[in-house]
Amino acid sequence: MGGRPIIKTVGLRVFYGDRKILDDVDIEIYEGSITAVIGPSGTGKSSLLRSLNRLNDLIPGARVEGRVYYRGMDIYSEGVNVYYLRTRIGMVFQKPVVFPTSIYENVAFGLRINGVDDEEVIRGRVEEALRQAALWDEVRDRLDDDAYNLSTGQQQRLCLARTLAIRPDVLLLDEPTSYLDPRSTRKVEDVLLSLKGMMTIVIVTHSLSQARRIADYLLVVMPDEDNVGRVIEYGPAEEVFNNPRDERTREYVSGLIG
Amino acid sequence: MDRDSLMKILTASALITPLLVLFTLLSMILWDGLPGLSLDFILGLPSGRPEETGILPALVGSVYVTGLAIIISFLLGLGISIYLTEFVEDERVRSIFYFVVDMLAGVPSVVYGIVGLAVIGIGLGLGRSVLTGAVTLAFLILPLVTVATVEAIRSIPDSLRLATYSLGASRLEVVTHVILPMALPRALTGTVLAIARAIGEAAPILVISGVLFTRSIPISLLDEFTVLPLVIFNWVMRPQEVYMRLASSAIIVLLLLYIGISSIAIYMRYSSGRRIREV
Ligand SMILES: Nc1ncnc2c1ncn2[C@@H]1O[C@H](COP(=O)(O)OP(=O)(O)OP(=O)(O)O)[C@@H](O)[C@H]1O
Ligand SMILES: [Mg+2]
Repeated sequence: MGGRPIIKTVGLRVFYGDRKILDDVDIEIYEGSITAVIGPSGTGKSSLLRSLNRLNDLIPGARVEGRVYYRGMDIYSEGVNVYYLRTRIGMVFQKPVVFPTSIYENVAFGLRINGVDDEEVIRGRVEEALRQAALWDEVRDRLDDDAYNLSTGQQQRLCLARTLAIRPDVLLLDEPTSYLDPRSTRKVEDVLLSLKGMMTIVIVTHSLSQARRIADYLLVVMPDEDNVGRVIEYGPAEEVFNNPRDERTREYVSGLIG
Repeated sequence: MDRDSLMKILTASALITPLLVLFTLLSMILWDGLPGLSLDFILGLPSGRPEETGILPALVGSVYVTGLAIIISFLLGLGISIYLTEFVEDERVRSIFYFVVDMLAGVPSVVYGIVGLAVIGIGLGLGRSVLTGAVTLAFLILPLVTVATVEAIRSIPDSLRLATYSLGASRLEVVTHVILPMALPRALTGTVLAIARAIGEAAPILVISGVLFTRSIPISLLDEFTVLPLVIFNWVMRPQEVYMRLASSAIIVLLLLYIGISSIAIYMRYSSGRRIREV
């Protein structure tokens, strides 16, 4: 396939306790592209995403085996600074996670945590991030308002802005639009398309039409006969949609299963 | 009469009866105690003659010991709760700790007094001092404070933690930037509840201090002391009418003290609640 791989997994497996839920994931994520991860519920898509920025470390009982390379570095090897890693590989979740502070402080939050304390710099980065997330025009006059007062769609773009403010290299999104109405969904999709090239995006989605609209690459995760998630198809989105190699993918993308 | 209205009357009287009792009690205390309440009484030293007596040493003792106890147990409780919720990984270890905390909450207060005197007073050689009393009271209310704080921290959704970690936060930063500011107001509420218990306790203090009557005001942490509940206890034990009235006056002071300390905690709760906005 095309492009330079920025993330590469080798024999990646994820367990919760003794239960294996993801097996044999060998993929490469290409720099500057949008990769959509699709598949039925409970097959380990979120778990896959979380093992790319080591967020699984924080889930009780979760265990990751195999290798994940980010820009050639094995992120599970000893001595890796996970905190720094997570600033390079940012994440946005399904439900907007808004902190009980102002709009401004929500976006500034990641910067403050990472030791940026020049208010001038923070102000600039907050505006830049809000612009990137297509939220600036809606909130520029009420940055000090309670972030809870934003609509769900705006809150999700706020979360996006918060992650963008620390200028990640890779952006992981776990079903970021599943709580949003179609208009807000489109806005988020437009933001992602505008970020493409600047950063690498991996998005889990249940919406095939969303995958069609924005994805360069499509990754299909399906449970095998033991109910362990496996990557059954991975390739340029066009190809996977029109000419899948696996029969289950054909059924899935035509809406027969899933 | 149909069953619904019967039920309504029954439940309403369940509410009204204790209110009536409380109201009667309070009016009796005010009736008996208000006339004797004067600055001379509050700021005076105890005397053998009831009409000249005052409660200053006990008042200072109460403020000193309870205030210290609250601060100690709040800090300890916060520390314990954060450790249990954020740093203990093993669910079993955690539930053992929760069990112990629950058990401790059920131990009779006089036992705290005996253990406090034995371990802190005699064992550590701190004697029957303010410090011994304060630390003992602190341990007495520690379960209350800890349970309230643990509840507060557990009610913080995991999604907030994960989101904070995903921005590159360390565990310490998650605690200081998310857990503490969000849990603090509710931990303070738990502490307010604990204050009521601490300030009214007579039994453990009776064991530790043993002083019902003293004219000396505690200054240093190692001074001997008495507290208002002990003075009240001493007075109500006496047959003469006049001591009943003195006890009522002292109870009013105790209630005012309780309201005062609670207000401080509520004010702190309010202002720390505001501080969340800045995280
Ligand atoms: N913290 C956890 N502890 C135990 N099992 C878990 C945990 N999180 C997820 N699982 C299990 O692992 C499997 C994969 O979960 P995961 O959330 O990764 O799937 P998913 O593909 O993202 O599903 P969805 O599309 O519903 O979001 C599921 O069967 C789930 O029950
Ligand atoms: Mg998921």
